[in-house]
This record gives sequence, structure tokens and C-alpha cells, in this order.
Amino acid sequence: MKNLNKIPSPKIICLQILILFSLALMAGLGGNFLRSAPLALVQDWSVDAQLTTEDGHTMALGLDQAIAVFNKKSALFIDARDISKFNQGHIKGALNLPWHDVQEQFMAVAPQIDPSDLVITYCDGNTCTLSHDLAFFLKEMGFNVKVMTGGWDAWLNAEMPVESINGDNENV
Amino acid sequence: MYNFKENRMAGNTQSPTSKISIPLIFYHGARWILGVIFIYASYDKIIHPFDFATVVNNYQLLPGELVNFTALVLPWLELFMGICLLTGWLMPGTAIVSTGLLFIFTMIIYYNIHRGLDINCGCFSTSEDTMPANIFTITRDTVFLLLSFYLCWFSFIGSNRRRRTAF
Repeated sequence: MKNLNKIPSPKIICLQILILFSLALMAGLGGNFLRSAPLALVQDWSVDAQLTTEDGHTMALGLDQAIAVFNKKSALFIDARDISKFNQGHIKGALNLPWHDVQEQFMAVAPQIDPSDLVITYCDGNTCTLSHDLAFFLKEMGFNVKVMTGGWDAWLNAEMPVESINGDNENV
Repeated sequence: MYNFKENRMAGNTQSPTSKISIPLIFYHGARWILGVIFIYASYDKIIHPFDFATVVNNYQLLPGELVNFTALVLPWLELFMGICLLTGWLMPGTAIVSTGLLFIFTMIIYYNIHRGLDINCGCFSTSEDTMPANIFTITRDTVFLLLSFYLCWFSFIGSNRRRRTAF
């Protein structure tokens, strides 16, 4: 067992920390280099890049476009947040399909979606990615999907119609 | 604060580990618990680097250029910290890094919950099916942080105090 009385000098402690970080750096970068499909060291993580499909089309839809589609009533909005947030308030007429429960709830929600309709997913705001995940899932299921990039925050700021489950917060 | 000069001048060569004490048992217990936790936490992230990069990006704290680099190196740092904690190698340097990282993790989760982000913690799994970070996550990380802080305290102060009181 080690003698705990022997506390290393600050120089030794700095060396220990340096060894630890060096090992992690070598293993992380070296291990990635040896992978069959290595992760790029630098990648575009912008919203547009994340919402671009393999065929080069973007699923991103700005707030103005979403409002135009809403006013024409030519799209179905789907809220990807959990049910408690949906009940507190959501885009008027939106359905709720929480990403965290998508496997359990998809079959209940799917009959309410017309395959010929444009589906627009949304969640909290620009920093929320639940709507991205849900959009890719619905696209795989064969639906025509877009993601409203500003999300619920942008919709509220634009003072667009919203409703809650008990109707208390309705603003049409 | 620990006085290195005084420690050297005291000239003590007797090992305190020859006597088993409760602080010493806590020290080794905390070391082993954190060691296992760090190794367990690193496993899924090392196997699924892209999924972990997505988790890192979802936190919206790092510039895009650093997301993948962090996702590649951080899990290995956790793995090596876990091994060092279990074996007692590179201590107390590992305890300092562990405390620093756990402090940063806890603060980041608290900050993201505070600003209303509904994101996965990514602490032990990169799976998107896991529940988002919540108050339980902060409580759990705070307990880990306290264990790690105890390792630092014992390494620099606790063991020295025991030696002083032995004479």
C-alpha cells in the first residue's frame, strides 16, 4: 500500500496532471485514427448543416416561412417536447409527439397525420434538438417534414396563436 | 494550506497506513467508487464518439470547432482517471483533475437546466432515449464532487494531520 505521508511536490503534481492529459490525448486521437470510420476533428455543427439530408436538401424552416404555412393552414405542426410542456402551451392545432416517448406514442399519433401534408416539428428554441431528432424519424417513416428552427420561443415572441390543454392560455 | 517545507523538516518516515483509520477507509472507498464510476461513464462514449459529440454539441457551450475534439479526448480522460483512481497511480494529481472536471460538469448541467434546455445529460450514456438532465442529475454529480473533493482534502491535509497527531 502507498505511503500517503509522501505528498508529491507541486512540480510532481503538475507532471501527474500532464501525464493524465497526454495519455487521454494520445488515446483519443490515436484511437480515432485507427477507426474504420473516424470522426472528423472539425465538423460543421450549425443548425442548417445538422438539418441537411444526405441528398443535400435542408429541413430547416425559418419562422416567417412557418407563419406563412400556418396562415394557409397547409401544414401540421408537431410538438416534440414532453407532455407537461405541451399542456402548458403549444402552437394552436399542434399535435404532441414527445421525442423521448416516440416509440410508444408514434402509433397513436400516426393516424392523425395525412401523408400528403407538410409536417413541421418544433421544440423549445434554437438550442433544442428534439425537433431535429423527431424530424429525421418522421422522414424515415415516409412523411414530408420540416423543422421550425426558432421553435416555441420564436413563435411566442412573434405573438402567434397558441393554446393550452385546459384552454386557459388560449391566444387566437 | 499545506506546508511542504514543514512536512519535509518534520522528518517523519513512519507510514500512517500502518494504522487503519476511518478517514483512510473513506479515502480508499471514495477512490474506488469514483474509479468505477469514471470507467463506467467512459465506456459508451468511447464506443460511440459521434453520438457523444452530438451530446456535447447539444450543450451549446463549446464552439463547433472544439466539439469533436472534446468528444474524442474527454472519454479517454475519464477512463484513465478511473484506472488511476482504482490503482492509486498518479495521485493526488488525478484527484485534482477529477474534482475540477466534476465541478465543471455540475455547473454546466445546472446552467443548462437554469436556461431551460431539455437535453440529455450524456453522463453515462449517449443514447437519446435517456431522460433529460434534471435536479436528480445535479444531486448525483454533487455527491461525486464531494467524494472527489474529499480525496483532495485527504491527500493534502487529512493525511498530514494524522501524521502530526501521531507524534
